[in-house]
Amino acid sequence: MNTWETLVASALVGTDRQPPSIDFTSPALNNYQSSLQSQSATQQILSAAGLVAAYQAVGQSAAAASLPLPAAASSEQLACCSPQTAQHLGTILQENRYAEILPELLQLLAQAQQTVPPDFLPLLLDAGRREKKLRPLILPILGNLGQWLARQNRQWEYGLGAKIADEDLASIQEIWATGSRSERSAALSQWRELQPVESRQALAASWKQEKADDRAAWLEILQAGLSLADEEFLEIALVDRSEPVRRQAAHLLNQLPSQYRQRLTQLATELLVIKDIDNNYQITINLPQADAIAWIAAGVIDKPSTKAGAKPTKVTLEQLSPVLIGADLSVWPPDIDRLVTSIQNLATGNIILSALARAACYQQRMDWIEVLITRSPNTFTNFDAQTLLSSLPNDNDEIKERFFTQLLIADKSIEMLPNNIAIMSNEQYWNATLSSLVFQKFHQYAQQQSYQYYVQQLISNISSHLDISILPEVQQIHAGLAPDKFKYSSCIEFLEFRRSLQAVFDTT
Amino acid sequence: MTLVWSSEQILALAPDAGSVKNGKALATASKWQNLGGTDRALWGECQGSGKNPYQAQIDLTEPAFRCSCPSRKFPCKHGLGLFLLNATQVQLFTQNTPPPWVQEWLDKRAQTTEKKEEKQKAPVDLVAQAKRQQKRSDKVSAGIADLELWLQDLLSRGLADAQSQPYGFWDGMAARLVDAQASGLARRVRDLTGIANSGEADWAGGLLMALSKVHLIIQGYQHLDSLDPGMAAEVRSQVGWTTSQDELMSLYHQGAATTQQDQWLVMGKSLTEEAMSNLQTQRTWLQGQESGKFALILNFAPRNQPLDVSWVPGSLVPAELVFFPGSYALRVIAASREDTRQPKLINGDESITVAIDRYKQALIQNPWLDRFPLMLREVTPRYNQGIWSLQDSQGNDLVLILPDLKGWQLLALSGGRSITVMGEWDGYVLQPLGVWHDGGFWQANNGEVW
Repeated sequence: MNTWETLVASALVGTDRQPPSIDFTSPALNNYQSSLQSQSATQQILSAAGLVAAYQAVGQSAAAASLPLPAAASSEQLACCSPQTAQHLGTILQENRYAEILPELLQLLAQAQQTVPPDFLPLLLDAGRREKKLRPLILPILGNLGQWLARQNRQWEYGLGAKIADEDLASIQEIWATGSRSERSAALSQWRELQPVESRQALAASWKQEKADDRAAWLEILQAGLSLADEEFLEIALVDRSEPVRRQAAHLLNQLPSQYRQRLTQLATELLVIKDIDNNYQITINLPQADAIAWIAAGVIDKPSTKAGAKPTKVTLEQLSPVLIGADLSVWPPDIDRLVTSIQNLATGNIILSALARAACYQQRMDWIEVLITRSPNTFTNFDAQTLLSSLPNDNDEIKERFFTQLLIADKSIEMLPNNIAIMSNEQYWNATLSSLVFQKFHQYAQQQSYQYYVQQLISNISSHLDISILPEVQQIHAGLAPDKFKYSSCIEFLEFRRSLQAVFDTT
Repeated sequence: MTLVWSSEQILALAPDAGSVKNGKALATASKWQNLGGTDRALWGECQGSGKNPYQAQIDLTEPAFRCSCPSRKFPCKHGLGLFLLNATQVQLFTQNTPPPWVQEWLDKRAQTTEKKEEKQKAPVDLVAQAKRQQKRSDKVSAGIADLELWLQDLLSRGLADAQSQPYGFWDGMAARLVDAQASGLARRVRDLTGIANSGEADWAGGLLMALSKVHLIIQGYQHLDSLDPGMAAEVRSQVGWTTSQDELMSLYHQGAATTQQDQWLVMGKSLTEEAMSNLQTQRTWLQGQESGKFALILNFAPRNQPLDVSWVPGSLVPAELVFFPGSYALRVIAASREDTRQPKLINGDESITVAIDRYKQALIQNPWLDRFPLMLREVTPRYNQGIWSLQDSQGNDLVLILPDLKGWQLLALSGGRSITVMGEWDGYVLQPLGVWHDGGFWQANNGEVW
């Protein structure tokens, strides 16, 4: 034991039990030894401890680093955002206010080719860690510094997938061959955008070596630039041993006028036999046998078990929905309105209509969509809306607007408003006309509801999508409301914040 | 060059998180009217819930705030909102002649400063002062005698026994010392409870070290007459017998105080809170750009009460500072100061070894030094296996203590390159307070208690 340890040991047990034995090992302290002799035992310990502690503190030296420093970040190519934008970002990220606007702010930053001040990067990367859907919006504004920072923290690994600045194909291919999962994901996305065919061929080449989770994720990337050229590969994926992979392959094939669709169309016409009798469609549902070869081959029903004692299975219409979803809608009689009415009269009408609604979304058939929304407003699910919106080109606002408008108009009793808002929320921005319509519907809805908290949550969601041009309309309605009615203060505050946020980019 | 205030520096003036939030919400042009500003002041009118708009004004020289709103927070959200708006949209401040309500306030402030100086220059009643001091000296001596006996008992029975004592064991002695007007010793005794119950492996070593420092103060106090004036003043200060600001200024006016005129860089601020006393202590560290001297401004206030916000981290303040007496004098008050401005060049020690050597020199003169400022130039932050550190060009390492988010922010500011970091060093770890990077300043501690 050194001097300090001896002193601590003596102090622990107390001088009553063990008188101190002080022996300074350092010659520099020996001079003080004699001066301690005249002190009491407790004083000796305290004085000696003071001496040794001070001696050690003064004698300390800097410690040598055990590891080399990591390479520094490359110089930043993106300009930094304005102080006002940094302030807006601080409000969202540090104070957790107006979090719904973060995607909008990130998009504005990306459009302006700006990044954020360095001290905001950890907050932003962490926001992306928590919310996956923010990641594609964060990546373009990370800049070289953000990517470097992401490399230092495994939890931010997704940040490494930022777009390669020079779009160097060779480096993309290199990353696809050797990178981590998130790096490969980003590389394949970028490669797909640049060379849809070559990227798919590369995926096909490594397909068998990929893990099941990865296979499903890589297939998702093929959504971008999806074409009939992908069909052959998707057919292979359709019989994959992993169910999520098969489901994703069917999801993609449903969007193409593929042989898969032809096969399902054939089966669908066997399933639903429709005859036009006296201006009325007579519909017969022919469920196949559990061992129907064509249906098994199409992957719609599973091969019956050959095990001894296995009970014979019965095929249900619900189980066969994929056939109706995948079949070409043109195969059905042209009078959609009359057909939908006839289907509604069937006991299993809802199952058929839901499948046809999904097919309409896959095939972007607005004629079908409009009839279905009008006749059966609650037929469309959020998934259907997502399918429709994701398959539409970015600039095809007309179909989106028609779809949303139809949803709102068809919902005459406004009971479906929360569901419709959820569907519409798949689209980040609503134009001025749509915003005004939503707000009017919401105003009607809010004044009828007694659950104010729920209404408040709904208006928070709506406010982030509304066009800020309707702010005067909201303010006007708010000003004329009776004190006991639902008020729009939070919506106004929200829209004002968005206006000030957008104004910075408008002026720059 | 007048200081260009960054949003971050302004928000650091906020008394609490709520004020930050509300101040930001008011930093919008639509909330304000009649905005104006000069080099000396900013003003504007903000429509609140009342009939008349609130009149908010800022004296930029310190800065100081005033608002006609009823808020008891200082600065209020209107002051912060006005200041933030000026930092981001200066073009909105079109008026350049202060209206009467602003001019009156500025004139009154100037008069108050003059009156304060006159009061400090007033002659002191030496007889009455000596009588007061003798009375206090007697009380302190009695308290210290009790403390010595208490220490003797504690060491006789052993630290293991002391650890099992209830809180009253420590608090009782601390209360006795408060009665004896030995507040410095009382604070040290109160801190012993935390060390004994810290649960750390080396709690006994930590407790012995803390007790030895208390013992050293007692020894010093009992031999005050044989100590040099600086050390004697330090011991008295450690006991809790501090010189008041008025006393110090009185000494200053008599030419009996140590002063330093310099351009003082405000390096950083830190805040600690004492749970028992509900008192918060703000430490603002300064460094003279010509003298290289360090200085410390201490402010105390009950929790949630405003602290001095006039020394803004990252700024430069030409001032004449008066040092409280001590063996390694750090604590100061300002005898006079000019407008806050932007620093041109930031100095600092070029290696960790040099900075620590500076600390060691200070420690030799003042063994009770708890915290010491290190200003490190060209150090690179790093993160390895849960530990944050700074590495200098000589390959030496210094461990940091800071929340993880702050660590990542520090790393982002550096981008793997060297930066200048100021922090408080306690002999083991450095708590970063200010960072200079790419010509900008980042306040590592915005008034949080770490």
